[in-house]
Amino acid sequence: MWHLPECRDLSRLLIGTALYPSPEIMRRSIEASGADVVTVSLRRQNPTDGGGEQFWDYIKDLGKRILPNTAGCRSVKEAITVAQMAREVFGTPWIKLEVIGDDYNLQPDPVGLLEATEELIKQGFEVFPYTTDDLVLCTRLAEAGCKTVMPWASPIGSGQGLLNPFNLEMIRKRLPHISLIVDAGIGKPSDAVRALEMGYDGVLINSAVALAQDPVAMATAFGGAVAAGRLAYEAGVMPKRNFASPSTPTVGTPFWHGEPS
Amino acid sequence: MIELKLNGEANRLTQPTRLDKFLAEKGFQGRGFAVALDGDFVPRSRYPEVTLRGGESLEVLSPMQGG
Repeated sequence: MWHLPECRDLSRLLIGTALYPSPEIMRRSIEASGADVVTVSLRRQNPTDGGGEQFWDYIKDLGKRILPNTAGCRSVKEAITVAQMAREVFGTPWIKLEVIGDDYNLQPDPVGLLEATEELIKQGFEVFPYTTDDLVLCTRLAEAGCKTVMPWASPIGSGQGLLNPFNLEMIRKRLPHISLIVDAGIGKPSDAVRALEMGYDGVLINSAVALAQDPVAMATAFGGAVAAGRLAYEAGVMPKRNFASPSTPTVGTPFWHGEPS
Repeated sequence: MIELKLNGEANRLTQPTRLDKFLAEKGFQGRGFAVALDGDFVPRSRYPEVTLRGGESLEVLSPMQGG
């Protein structure tokens, strides 16, 4: 999405709004992270309890771009319906598309995800698909019209970090013109640095900040991590070598007693 | 008496009722919710055109924290 003129200056850190100890800590964490995009969901709620209005007012006051999700949807039909509902409530065509295929590890259903993506793009949505780190699936999602694809690093909320960096690097190399965001599984700032150093355009985090002992401080750490990782990518990481190479000049090495050449 | 489900819970109506009136009676006001009827999204502009006659399953969803 950073190739879009209106998105060029957005932070490469996207952040969720769930699991914080309090709404105030959520607000301070989002501000500290520097994120410009926040994720939200839709749920059944009792109108006598405020029916979500209070939360929505709170989020609107933050002035961030909203990326609604279809979390919890287990079929193409459910995901499409929730996306349509989200577009009306949140007033955005953006949708973080989740079609869950396994309840244990919340792994996306690749077949359902692609089918739902194709339909929603026909309906004018800007689809951000949450996907496994499968190169061919990511390619199909890009071919379907996704400008942004979001492979997982590891299962949602696991904090396991980048379990398969080979796959993630391959996806980056093969889809150079697509915005790639690592979504799910990031546990600590060094995971985010690693993703950005690979050339990923951003990371989407939630649990890593919300479940930290000090969410506000951790949000600050992630903001710095994403900035450092991107700068390192742009600066160009040195190639790895299988041998040592002294960094201190060898000319004038003290106590050198080698044979003169 | 007719029956329908609202967010998975049984509800009873004395007579067929327009969707917009039903939602208002249940306390859904403002713009912070969206509706699906039997799994299909119902745009807000269509609420007055829909009449609940019993047997339907309604989902009314509102903004919530999410990752």
